[in-house]
Amino acid sequence: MRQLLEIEDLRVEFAGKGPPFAAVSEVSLKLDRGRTLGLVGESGSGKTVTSLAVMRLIPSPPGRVAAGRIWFDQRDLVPLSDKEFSGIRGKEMSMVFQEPMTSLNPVFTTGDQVAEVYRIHLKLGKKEAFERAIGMLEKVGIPDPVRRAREYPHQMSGGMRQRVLIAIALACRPKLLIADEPTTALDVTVQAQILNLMEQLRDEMGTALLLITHDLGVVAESADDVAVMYAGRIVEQAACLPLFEAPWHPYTAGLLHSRPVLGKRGDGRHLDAIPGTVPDPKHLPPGCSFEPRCPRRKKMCAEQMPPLEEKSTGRQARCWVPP
Amino acid sequence: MEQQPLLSVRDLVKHFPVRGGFWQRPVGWVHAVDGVDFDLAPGKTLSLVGETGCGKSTTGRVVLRLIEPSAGQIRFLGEDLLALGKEQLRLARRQMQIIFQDPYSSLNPRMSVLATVGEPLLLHAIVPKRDIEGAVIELLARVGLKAEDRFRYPHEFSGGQRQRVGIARALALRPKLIVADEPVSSLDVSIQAQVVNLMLDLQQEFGLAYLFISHDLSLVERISDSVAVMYLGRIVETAPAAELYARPRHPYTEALLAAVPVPDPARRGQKRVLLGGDVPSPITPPPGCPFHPRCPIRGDGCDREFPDQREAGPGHTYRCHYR
Repeated sequence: MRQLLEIEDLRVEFAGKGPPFAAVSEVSLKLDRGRTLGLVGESGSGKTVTSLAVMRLIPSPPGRVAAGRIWFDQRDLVPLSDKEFSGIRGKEMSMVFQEPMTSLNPVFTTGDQVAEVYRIHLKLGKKEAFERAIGMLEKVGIPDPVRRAREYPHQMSGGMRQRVLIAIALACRPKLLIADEPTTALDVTVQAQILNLMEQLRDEMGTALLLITHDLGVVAESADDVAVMYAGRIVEQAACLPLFEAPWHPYTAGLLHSRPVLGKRGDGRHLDAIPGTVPDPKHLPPGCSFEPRCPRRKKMCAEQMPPLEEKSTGRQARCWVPP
Repeated sequence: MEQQPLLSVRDLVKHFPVRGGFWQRPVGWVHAVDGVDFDLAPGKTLSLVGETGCGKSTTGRVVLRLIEPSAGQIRFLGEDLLALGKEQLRLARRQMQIIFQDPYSSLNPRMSVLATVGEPLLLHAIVPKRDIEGAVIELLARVGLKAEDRFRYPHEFSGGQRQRVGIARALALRPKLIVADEPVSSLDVSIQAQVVNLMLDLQQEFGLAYLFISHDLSLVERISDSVAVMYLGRIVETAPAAELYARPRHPYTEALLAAVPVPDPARRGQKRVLLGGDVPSPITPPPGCPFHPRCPIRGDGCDREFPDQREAGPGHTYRCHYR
C-alpha cells in the first residue's frame, strides 16, 4: 500500500531558446494522510514547480513533465486525461497560493467563490451551495460569516482573504492540501493565526499538507518531515527534529545559519552568509550544483553529481563529503 | 555626557487625504504617522518595526522630506530640516540617502550602472566629470561588484546584485544617514545575509547611521542599537535592542515577539500567544490607545485616553496604561 502522495523521479522540463532545461529533476517525495511535509528552498529551487506538477498546473507549452510518476491515492496521475484530472483537482487535492490579493476573483463575492466549489464538485444547487459556503467561512474563523459571504475580496484584509482561500481549498475536504508560501505575504501576527488554522483543520479532516516555504521558522513550527531543494533537486530529506538538530547537507546547514534566530544575539552582528549565488538552471555546474558555494567541497564534487542516498535511518542527503 | 543626536524627530505627523465625491474633496484622512518621536545617534542603527500600514515606511520618507509632513519637527545635524529652502535641502540631502525595498523597480532600467551610481556625483558636482568613472569603479568595489559591471543594466543582475547597486548609489555622496526601507526582505535567505553583512561593514567603515525599517524581528534584534515598535502610526515602545527583546513592556511588542516562528522544532510545544483580529484601518483609528481592540490586558480608560509615555529603564519607554 502506497502513501497518499508518492512522487517518483519527477523531471519537469521547460522549452526556451536553445535546448529544453530541467527546472526539477530526480525528485522523489512521500507524504501520508494527516502529516505535514515541508518543502524548503530559495527562489528557482524548483519547489513551486514540483507542486504545480502534482496539481497539473504547469503551463504547457513551454513546460512538461518529462519523466516520473505521481502516485496519489493508489493511482498514477501522470497518464490521466485532463477530464479525468479535473474531478480530482479542487476536490481531492487543492492548493493555496501565496498571493491572497490576486488569487481571488475581484468581481464575485467571497461566498460565491466558495460556493462554486460545491456547485462544480458536489453538483449542489445555488442556494444550498451558498449555505455550505457560509458554514465553511465560519470554520476558517471569519467573524460574521453571513455578512462576510456577501462581501467582495477588496473589502477584506490580507489575512481574511487568505482564510477565504483556505475555505475554498478545504471546501470538499480534500485528501491533500498544497500550500505554497501561504503566509509569506502576511504580517507576523496574522501568519501565526493562519498557521494555527491550517494545523487545526489538518488534524480535524485528516488532510495531508504539503507546505512550501522559504521560511525555516515556519517549517520548524508545523512540519513532520522536511525536504530541502536546491537547483531543482532534493539535497536533503529527514524528519523535522533531526534535520534542524544536525543538518547533513552543507546547504541545509548554510540556510539554517544564515538566518538570525530570535533570542540568540550571537557574538557579533554579522551573519553567516552563504557566498555566491544560485546557479542558472540552464547552465548547471557539471558536478554537484552546490559545489561552487560549498565550504566542504572536494575535488570530486566538481566532477560528479552525488546521488541522494540514505546517510542514517530516515535521513537522505545528496553530498559526497560527510559533515 | 549624551552625544548630540544626528537625527531628532518630535511629534511627527503625516495625514494623507482620502478623496471622494465629484470634486475629489478630502472625505477622510489616513493617519499614517500620528505623533512620532525618536533620536538617532551618529554611526548607530535605529530600527522601526511594525506590521503593514503601521507607518514605518512613511516615517522614513518624511524624515528625508520625500513626503512633506503635516506637522512636527525634524532636526538633522542640529538644523531644522523643515525650515530649509529648496537649495539648502538639496545640500542637506547629500548627507542623507535611502535604500529601497524593491531592487527591481527602484533602479532605472534604461540607465547603466555607471550612469545610476555616477548620477549623484554629477548632480552634486562632488568630483570633476572626468573622475566620475574612477569614483564609480571604487564604489562598486566597496559593495562587492566588479569594475566591468559598470557597463551593465539592471536586468542583467540578480536581486542581490541590484541591491548592491542601490547601496553603491546611496553611498556615492558619503552620507551620514541612510534610511533603509526593508532593504533585504525581497531577497532570498542566503543573499539576505550577504547584503546585511555588507551594510554592517559599510557602517563601520563610513560611520553611517541607519534608520532601518523592517518587519523582520529576528534580523532587527541582531543588527540594531535600538528599536522602536510602531502600531497604527504611533511608537508604542522604544528601547535598546537587547533590552526590548529581553524585557518587552508593551503587550503589542510581546505579541509580535511571540508570533515570530523560531527555527527550532524542539521549542514547538511552547504555543504562540495568538493575537486575535487584524490591524484596524488607519482612516478610522480606534480612540484612546490604538491597540486596545486587540489588547489582551485592556482595561478601564484604554478606549478613551492615549497613554502617556512611561519609563522602564535607561532609554526604554513605552505607552501603556496597565504596565
